[in-house]
Amino acid sequence: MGVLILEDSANMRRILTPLLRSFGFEAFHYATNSQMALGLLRKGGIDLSIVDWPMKAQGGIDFARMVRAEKTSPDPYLPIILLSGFTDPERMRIARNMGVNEILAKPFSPEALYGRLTSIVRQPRPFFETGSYFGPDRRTGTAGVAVPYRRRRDKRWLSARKSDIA
Amino acid sequence: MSLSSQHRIIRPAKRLHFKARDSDLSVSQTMAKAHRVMAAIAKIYAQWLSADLEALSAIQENLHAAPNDAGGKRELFRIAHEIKGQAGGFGYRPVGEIAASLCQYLEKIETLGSVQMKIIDAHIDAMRAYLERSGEGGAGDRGTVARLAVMITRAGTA
Repeated sequence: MGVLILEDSANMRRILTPLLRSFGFEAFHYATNSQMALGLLRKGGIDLSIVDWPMKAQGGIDFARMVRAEKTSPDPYLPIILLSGFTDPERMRIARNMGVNEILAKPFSPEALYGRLTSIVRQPRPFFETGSYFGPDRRTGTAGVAVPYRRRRDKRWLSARKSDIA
Repeated sequence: MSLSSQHRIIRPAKRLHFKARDSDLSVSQTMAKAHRVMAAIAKIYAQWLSADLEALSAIQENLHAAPNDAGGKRELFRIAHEIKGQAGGFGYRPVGEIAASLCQYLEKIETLGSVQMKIIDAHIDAMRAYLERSGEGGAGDRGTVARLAVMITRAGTA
């Protein structure tokens, strides 16, 4: 599996690479700005991207916008995990609206990174296309299961438990 | 794919699901491997942190000479932000908290004068002091962050 790491911090690349290798990723592609990352994506062999949200422009958010929204995007469904040291609600809202799949706050633990990867691999969110948005389902906690179905399922589960108790 | 008048729902192919190899390792074994990676990095992280603090000090000196250098302030933020995002993961949580406080402060201030530089100096000194006595544990460093917060409040920018 190939992973694109869009990160301008050499230290963070040195942390991410062996960690991802321990999770089974074999091919690593590095970029320090969104244009470079898009160029690598066009070459192929990338199954997942991990991007940073730096202070300067042309970072992960810019990359997410280009991947999801541009007509010439080489891979509009590319899974994107955003690493961010900024965790205020406004920035999280912007990230979700740009179509990132998962957000991981820094500093992160191996468990947290593994959890985001597992979520993308095993329970990918469906994509929504509306007039103003294209990207994965922005609702948290649905993990690819449509809410009405989940509610129906939960009701069935609850009624089964009630009958058990009775 | 389902369609409605307002939106379209698309379920992309689960390509990663198909590509992810069935590992011989259990989740706990995979996590143990990942923790070994983190432990190996933790052994050298002090050197990375030291280099970051040296870079911060160099910018700090330049800013004392030329406080209106916007590039210097941006670089100061970038390095502090990097420390904030890494230190906590390798046993330097108080340093990460001090760096977070510095980032917040730098975001709030527009110009750098002597008061602002004093606060920046205090943050960098506190991180350097913690690194110098690293291994003594984080006890008391909550106090450092609190003292820095008081300093910022008194300066009237919090």
